Amino acid sequence: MRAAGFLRRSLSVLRQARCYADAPSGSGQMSFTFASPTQVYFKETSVKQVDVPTLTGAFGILPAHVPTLQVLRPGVVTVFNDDGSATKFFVSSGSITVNADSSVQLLAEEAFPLDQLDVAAAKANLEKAQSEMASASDEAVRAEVQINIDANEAIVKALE
Amino acid sequence: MVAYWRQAGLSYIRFSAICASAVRAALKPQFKVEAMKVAESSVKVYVPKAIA
Repeated sequence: MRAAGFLRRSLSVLRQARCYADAPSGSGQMSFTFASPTQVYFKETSVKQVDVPTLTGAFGILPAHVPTLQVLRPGVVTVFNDDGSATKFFVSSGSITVNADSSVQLLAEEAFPLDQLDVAAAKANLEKAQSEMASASDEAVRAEVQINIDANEAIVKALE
Repeated sequence: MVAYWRQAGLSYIRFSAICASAVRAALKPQFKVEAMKVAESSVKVYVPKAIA
């Protein structure tokens, strides 16, 4: 008898719809700002997607991406514009902010279009850094040389 | 996972500075001049000598 009464009372609760997440609101637009200290590449421009290289891995950002703060590593940023074209830049380092309203701010320490970089110069710097590694004694010096090697490897990889 | 440079005692600021100079060094000559001018530090560090 008591079980039936309990069931009757709980039925009204069960009839309510249960949601675990809210549907994302917003217009499906992404406002993108991308700048280095010397050059502004995008200023609150609407774009479809941005691929970024972060310290924790590379990921693509679409409208309604979960808000996040990340730091960048040397790598290629690809911007997919609303008209379908894609532009690539090489960034050295910096930060990326994705806000709740889907606006994205990418502030780079140095950022250049890929065609401004010289693969031969990057390869030469890479070899020089690798030979420096052999003579590095201190752990801090070794880490600094390794950062240089990683950055040049990323440039070579981006240009090939 | 701690980054190797963090473990060696370097900060992200230092990491960023090294990466930036590596990227500047790999620019094509016509863009390099401009970038080097910008990268030049306008801060001079003066450490006064301690008096005996």
